[in-house]
Formats: sequence, structure tokens, C-alpha cells
Amino acid sequence: MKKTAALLLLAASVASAGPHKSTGALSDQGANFANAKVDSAGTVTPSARPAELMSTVRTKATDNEQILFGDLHVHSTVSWDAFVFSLPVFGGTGSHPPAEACDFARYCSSLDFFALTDHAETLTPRQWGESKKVLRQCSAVGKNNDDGDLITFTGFEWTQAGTTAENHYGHRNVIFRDQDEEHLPKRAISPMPPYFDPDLTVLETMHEPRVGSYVAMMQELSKVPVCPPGVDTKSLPDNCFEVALTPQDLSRKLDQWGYDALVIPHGTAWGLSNPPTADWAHELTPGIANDKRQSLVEVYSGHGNSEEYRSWREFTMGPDGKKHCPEPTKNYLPMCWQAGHLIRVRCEEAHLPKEECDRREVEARQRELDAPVGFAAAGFLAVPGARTEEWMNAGECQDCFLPTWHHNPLGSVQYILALGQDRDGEDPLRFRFGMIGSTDNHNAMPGEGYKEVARWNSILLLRLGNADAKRFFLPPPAERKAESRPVTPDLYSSSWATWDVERTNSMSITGGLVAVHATNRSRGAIWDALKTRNVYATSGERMLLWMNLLNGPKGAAEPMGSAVKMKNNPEFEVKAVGAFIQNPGCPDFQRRVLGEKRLETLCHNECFNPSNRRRTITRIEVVRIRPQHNTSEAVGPLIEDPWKTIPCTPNEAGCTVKFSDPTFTKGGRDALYYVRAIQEPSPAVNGGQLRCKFDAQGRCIKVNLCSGDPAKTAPTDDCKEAVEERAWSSPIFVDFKRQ
Amino acid sequence: MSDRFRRACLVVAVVVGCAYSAFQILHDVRVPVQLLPGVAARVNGHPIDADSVNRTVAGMDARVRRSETAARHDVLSRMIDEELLVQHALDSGAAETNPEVRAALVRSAITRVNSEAAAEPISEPGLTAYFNAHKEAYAVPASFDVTALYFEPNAGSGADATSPGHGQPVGAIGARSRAAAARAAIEAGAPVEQVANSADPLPFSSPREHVSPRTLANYFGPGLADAVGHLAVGHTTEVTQLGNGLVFIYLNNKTLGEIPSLASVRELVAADALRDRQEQALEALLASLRQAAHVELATASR
Repeated sequence: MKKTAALLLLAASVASAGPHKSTGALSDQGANFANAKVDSAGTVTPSARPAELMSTVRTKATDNEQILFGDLHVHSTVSWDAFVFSLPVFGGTGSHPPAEACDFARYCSSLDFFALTDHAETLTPRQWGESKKVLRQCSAVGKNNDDGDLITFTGFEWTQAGTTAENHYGHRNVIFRDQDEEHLPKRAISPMPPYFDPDLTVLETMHEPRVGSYVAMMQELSKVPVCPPGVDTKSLPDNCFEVALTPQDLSRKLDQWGYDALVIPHGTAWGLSNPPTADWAHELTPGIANDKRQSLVEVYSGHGNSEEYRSWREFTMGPDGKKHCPEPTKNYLPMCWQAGHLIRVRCEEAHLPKEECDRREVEARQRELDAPVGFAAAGFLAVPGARTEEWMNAGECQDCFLPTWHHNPLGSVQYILALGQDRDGEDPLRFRFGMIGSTDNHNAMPGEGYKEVARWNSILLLRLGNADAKRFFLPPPAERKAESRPVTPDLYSSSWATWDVERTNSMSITGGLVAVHATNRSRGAIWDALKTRNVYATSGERMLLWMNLLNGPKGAAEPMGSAVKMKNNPEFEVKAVGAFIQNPGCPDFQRRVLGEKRLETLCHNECFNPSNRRRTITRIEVVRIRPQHNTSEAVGPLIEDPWKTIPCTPNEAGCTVKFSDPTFTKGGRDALYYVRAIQEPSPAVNGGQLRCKFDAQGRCIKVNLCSGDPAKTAPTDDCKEAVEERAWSSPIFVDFKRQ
Repeated sequence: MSDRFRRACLVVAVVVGCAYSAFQILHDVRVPVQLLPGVAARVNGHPIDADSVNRTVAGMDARVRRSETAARHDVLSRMIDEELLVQHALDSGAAETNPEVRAALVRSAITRVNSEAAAEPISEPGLTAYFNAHKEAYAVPASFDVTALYFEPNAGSGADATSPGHGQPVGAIGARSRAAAARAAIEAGAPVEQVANSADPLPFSSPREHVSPRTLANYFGPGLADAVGHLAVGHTTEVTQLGNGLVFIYLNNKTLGEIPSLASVRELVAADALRDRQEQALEALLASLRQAAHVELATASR
């Protein structure tokens, strides 16, 4: 008992560093819901897809390959945040258990594989055990559970978030290769002690019956003791709550389990859940960069695109250790700058003296920068009573492809790939990531980006359809004043209110996919492709993409994800084919197997339903990155995006291009190359994101948000605008062979 | 018996009854009465089940329990209080107005239906019948080994063809007639490897052996994948447009699908059959309730 208390005390001090601040105890008010029950994991619809369209392959692995599509980042309402979003009082549709994820992947999105990755910080061993069983059941239709029509992987999300660069590592999904009980851990591993939702007391005032089940979930969690630290994970009691505070701890525990696993960072560039000071250079340490389980990074999800590096910064650090507000650039308007502008305008409207308005403007900028970090840095609260629209596109990357909210360039995948530190007598310290996309869907809908429909029910949307929802998700209204205010926690009623919800609602998109070049449909073949990075990401479309190094040292073509050492100038070939245009509705065989009623509730009557016409590829963009020799080397010049742009003749059969790097040998420097295959424009949910109207100078003068408030934007309005969907290859890493 | 005697008996009974009640009320006494077997108490006519009391007492921590009698008294007292509170809540309209109560009642009703449906295990003949009726859903179906032959317009022999989109005119034979000739040759028995030399390189890497129809569809489209599904081994699909060129598919080999044995998917089938039974039971209950109910709809709701 004393040890547990000591652990809790120690962990609480670290937990307080993160936005998911564990209260360490369940509120007494939870006792009111004595009869509530925790949602069950559900029952899988056990039918495999019909014979004429779905199949297993009963062959041994060969050199032949095929492209398979999957989603490795999916939440059910076992995740605490998914549960909150699903509450009917917030316009949600109730329970979406793990079994539903299986049925959705099988019947609606027709995926080849997916992983369930519920948040570990509230996942009890019992829930974990149930999810494992459901996923096994999901895969059961097929020989030996191993090469079925749908392969499932068991996983969890290690949702770490700190408040400073030093205590922040960021989110990672942990996914296990095998599915039998003997090769899976007894527990998920959390980055913090059990997370008792501090907003529970607010939820309990909302007369929402399902809150009872949420309370039951928290009550169950409160009864699981935290595992004692310093004990080999295999020696721990089955029913305890396991914690690993850092990626190194996580890696140690996974070593102790000894099972084949992948650790996949995601959200590396998100403004949400990363503190403003986050910088992946902090993670360039042997214990993290060398982790062989980290072979992939999620570059794209329903939160947006984390690919692109930019030279602008949200703030600069002065010699005084304080944040300073940089001036706007052509494609970036800092939030702090806009905060100052908004206060200045109000001050002048109040006819106050210029010196006073100067002072208030500077003060507002600083207060925006100094806002504490909750789920996000709530700097927008520094300007009391400001509407979301007044912020224009401040804080956003204006020339990125579907960027995530408050995109942080120091977490961009390009930046991460450029980081490096040469070491004498050893391989340089670098991140060698392959690229994947996923949905990060929170409604148990793996692969939901197959159609650009149903914004209201599929993407990450905090619906604001009633007073309770607004009270919960938005900060309380404040009087407009001509002066900023310090941002303190009493300014928001729940953690969600730090999220700038209306802005993020307008930037959420349908999710991406991971595509693997697998030798066959088996679990092993899919896993091998993931481990060797022979994979690519898509923005949700089922595009086909190949990238090969033609003149590799072995004399044979080396596929994407490869790492080679050579002296000659590398030569590459890329083939890309656009996705089939979707037909409305669902194929006949889905109706036959599922029935009309189930089709409606599960798939909302829209399934993956390709026509025979493909979209065309318009161009191939090549990115070259030459990693740093040491961490003091400026990163910007090392990332060349695009390094080459090769146009494609419109052809539904695809586009094939070749290119080489004639400067490689002369430059004598390691490099990596990856490509983006760009598809012709097509409509996408929230394709316009903030839908800025620009003046002649390119400044955003008005936004047209796609709101979560049905009074502002109808739920039937999917806010579609044309985007160029794309696929990102995994890089080919070409090290210069010096001898 | 005379009328007078009967009247006297009635008066005596009323007086005794009133005195008995008054005694109970004034002295706050619950006078033991003879209840039906299995009933521990009755609260406003609603019975409290003796087994519930026994189970609760048996489950009490022995260290906390003072004596069996005292424990039973405490438990029964609490259950009586709970019953009174339930009745009070119902009297004050909780079942009509309180969404929490209503949701709990609905859940309880559904749980009861499900439990009753699950009480009887699915019989072996029932399981077999269910499996036979839904075999298709459990099928592990076919896989295909195909060769795709592609023909570019204005291209010559396959060996000299350039990448699509960058093609240069080589040869004068139209793509369609080349494709038709190749297909005819194969159907007439020419080896596909030989005929494939006259084709152009496919713009993308073709999937190799033993792919599913879904993967085939991801490469060639649902139309061609469907056509392959209906093809016999050694035969070809119709020539179809693929981008700027034409393609047909030759089926090298096919691994037939199979229906697994019931034994191998038994647990799955049992779970599905049970769920089916539970859903039907709920629908049947709702149908009978609707039939027996009197439901009136406003004009606008019809």
C-alpha cells in the first residue's frame, strides 16, 4: 500500500506535467450511478465477406506481391474521449464497441487489415482482455485466424503529452504482430497513472443516462491498483495498471514482454496535445532514435497532415528565457500577433491614447504566448470575448496540404527525417521512418475516408447542438474588452475548452490509409511489409504506388523503405495509379449479407463501392532530404520540397516516371528520397478548412468555418471543396559509401 | 342464522380490526402475518423475496456480521427501505419523467429478453440449420492467378514500348485489333507467355499469384474482377478500356473457395445464432406489445 501511495505521489508530479492531468482519485459523485454498467466490447458479426468478392490466400510466401490497404489507428468507445464524443447529449450516436470496428472494416470500408488502438490511460486489464477476444473473433473467419479476409492487430495508444519540450514525447501507437493470448501482453501500458476524467463532475450535471456507463468505466478503473514500479512486467499481477512514463520505459517493458511489436509515433506536428515548445530534436537520443520498433510514422490522419517543414515559428525564445512574438511572414500569421492586433483595434475604437494602445498590443501578444497548456495552449482566451472568426487563419500553415491545427514545423515528418547526429565509429543517430496514413477515427470506423460523406458522423467533430455541449466544449462567453487578460484555468469550464473547438471542427478531415506491399494476404506478410517500411500513406484514397531504386548495390531494384549504401548516383522509378471513383451506396453483396437495417446503422448506407473509372495522377513530386551531420546544422536548407516535380499525362492507367540524383556522388552526402503522387482534384470534406477569403496581398480577411453548431452549418453540409488527394511513399535511404 | 346475529358479528369484526390496526399504528409495530412461502416481507403489497435476503446475508463479510439474526434484520430493513424509495420514485412520476430511470428500465427490459433467449442453449440441429442457411457468410472463397495483357494505342511490339504517357508511335496496328488478335490466339490454345510478348508493358506492376477478387478490383476495377470471378481457368475476359489502352485478363489458375466445417467455426456460428435469436425475441416482444397497445398519432406524425 505504501509503495502504491509513493508511486502515485511520484507519478502525480509527472502527470501534472501533462494536459491529461490525472486527478488521482474518482469523484465521490460517481457513487450516484451505482447501477450503471460499463459498455461491453460487443459481438462481431461473424460473417466473412461473400465468396465472390472476398477471399483468403492459401499459399506460402513468395516473391510476388500485392498491395493491401489498412488502418492502424482506430478508437472505439472504450477510449475515454471517444466515449465522451459519443454521448447523445453531444449529438453522438452512443456506444461504438470494438466489435463494431470489426464489422465496419469488413463490410463498410472493405479493408484488408486494421488495428484497434484505444487509449491506454483508461484501459483496464479486463477491457484489454475483452478487446483481444473480439479482435480474435474478428479474424476467426479464415484459416488459423491468420490469413482471413480481414486481419486484425491488437494495439493501444500510448498517449503521452507534456507541457514543455523536456517532458514531452508525444503520442505513439503500439501494435502487436500476433493475436494469440500467449503472444500478447496481459495489460496495455499507459504513459501516466490512471486518467480520471476531471470533467466528470460537469458531465454528471447533464442528465445524460449514458454518463452512468462512463462513471462505471471510471469506477472500474479506480479499482485497478497501479502496478509496482521496477518489477519485470511478466512478474506483475495480471490485474494491475501498468505505467511507462517515457519512450525508453515503454521500450524496456516491451523488451520484457518479448513480443514482436511496432511503436508508431503520430500527431508529431499537432498543435493539439503537443506543447508549443515541442521539438523532435529532443528525441534524437539513442534510447529513442535507435528503437527498432519505431520503423514507421503516421504522416496523415483525420487530424490533418503532419508532413511539411516550414521555417516560421509560433514564437522565438529570447535570451531572457521568455517567448517573443515574431512578425508575420508571407504564409504565416502568429496567433500572438493577431492577439495584439485584435486588442489594438478595440483600443483604438475606444479612442484610447496611442501609447496605451501600443502597450496593450504588446501585452496581449505576451499573454497569448504565456497561456498555460491544457489539451492545447489556450492562447486565444487572452483576448476576451473574441469570436473564432476574428482570429482569421492565425496560427495555421497557410500553404501546407490540409495541415493539422496549429501545425508545429518542429514536429513535421520532414524535420524529423532531417535530424541527425554523426557519431565516430557508429551509425549516425537518425530517424528512419516509413510513412503511413490512418484515420484516428473515434467512432470505431476503420478506413472511413473511402468516401467524402457524413461529416457529422464520421470525422472528429465536437458537435455543439445544444446548451450542454456548448457549456462543455466552449469557454464561457466573456465580455469584450479593450484589454487582454492573463489566461488562467478558471477561464474554461472543461479541458476541451482549451481546444479552440470551432476552429478544429473546421480543420478535421476524413482519414488516411496505410498501403503495404505484401507478398500475400497473411498476417506475417503484412507485418513484414510494415517492419521493412515497404509501405506508403494515402490521404484516404486507394491509390497504387511503387517507388524503386533501380541501380541499388545488390543489382536488383530496391523498393520503398529500403536503406542502402552506394557511391553511384541513384536512379529511381515511380509508378502511380489513381483511385477508382466511388459509386454511391453499397454493393449488392453487402445488402445480401448484412441486410438493409444493419447496413444503415453500421455504414450509413455508404460503403466502399468503386466504379470502373479511375482518377488520374497529375504529377509526381520528389522530396530530397539530406540529414544533419550534427544538431547545430540548420535544417531548412537540408529539406528540398519539392526537389523535382514531374508532370504526368492524364491516363487512368497511371503514370510512370524515372528520375535520378546527378549530384549525389559529387555531394558525397547521405540522402533520402520520397515521392508524393498527386491525384486530380476531387471534393473532400473540409477540403477548404477555414475557407479564407484573401485580399490582394494574400492576407486572410474573412473565414467561413464549417461549424459543429448545426445552427451555423447544417449537419447535412459536408463542407466539401476540391483537394488534390495524394499518396506518400516511404523514403528510400541512400547513404553515401565512402570506401 | 338470524339477521341480528349476523349484524353483531360484523360490528365485532370491524371493531377488532380497527383496534388491531390502531394498535399497530400507535405502537409502531409490525405484527407478523402469515406470508406466502419464499416471501420475506410485503411492502404495500409488493413482496420482498426471501432468497434475495438469504443471498445478501450469505455474501456479507463474516467479520462485519454480528449474528445471523441481526444480519437478516439489517438486510431486510434495508431492502424494505429500498422498496419504499422505489415506490416513492414511481409515485412521483420518475418512470414518466426521469430519463435516467427510463433508460434503465428500457435496458432492463432488453436484458431480460436477451437473458430469456439465452437461457436455452442453441440445439445442435438449430446450430446446423443456422449454419446451413448462412454458409455463404462463412465461406473462405477463391483466389486467382492472372496474367494481364495490355495494349497501348499506336504502340508496336511489347519489347519496344515506352512508358504510357511518354509513348512514341511504334507500329501501325491499332490497339484494339492487337488485343483482339491476342485474345483469339489464347482462346485457340496458344501459350499465354508467348502471346504476352506481343502486348505492351502494363503501366503498373500487376499483382502476382493468388490474389483475392478485392485486390484484383483494386488493380483492375470491379468490372474486370467480377469477370475473372466467372471465368474458367485457361480463358480470358473481354477486352476492356484501361486508361488510354486496352486490357484483358487471362486466368492462369484458380483456387476454389470452400465452406469450412461447422466444427471449425462453431463458436462464431453459435454467437451469431444466439444474437439472431435474441433480436427475433425482442422484435416479437415489441410486435406483441404494439398489437396490444393503444397508440394514437397526431396527424403531423403520420
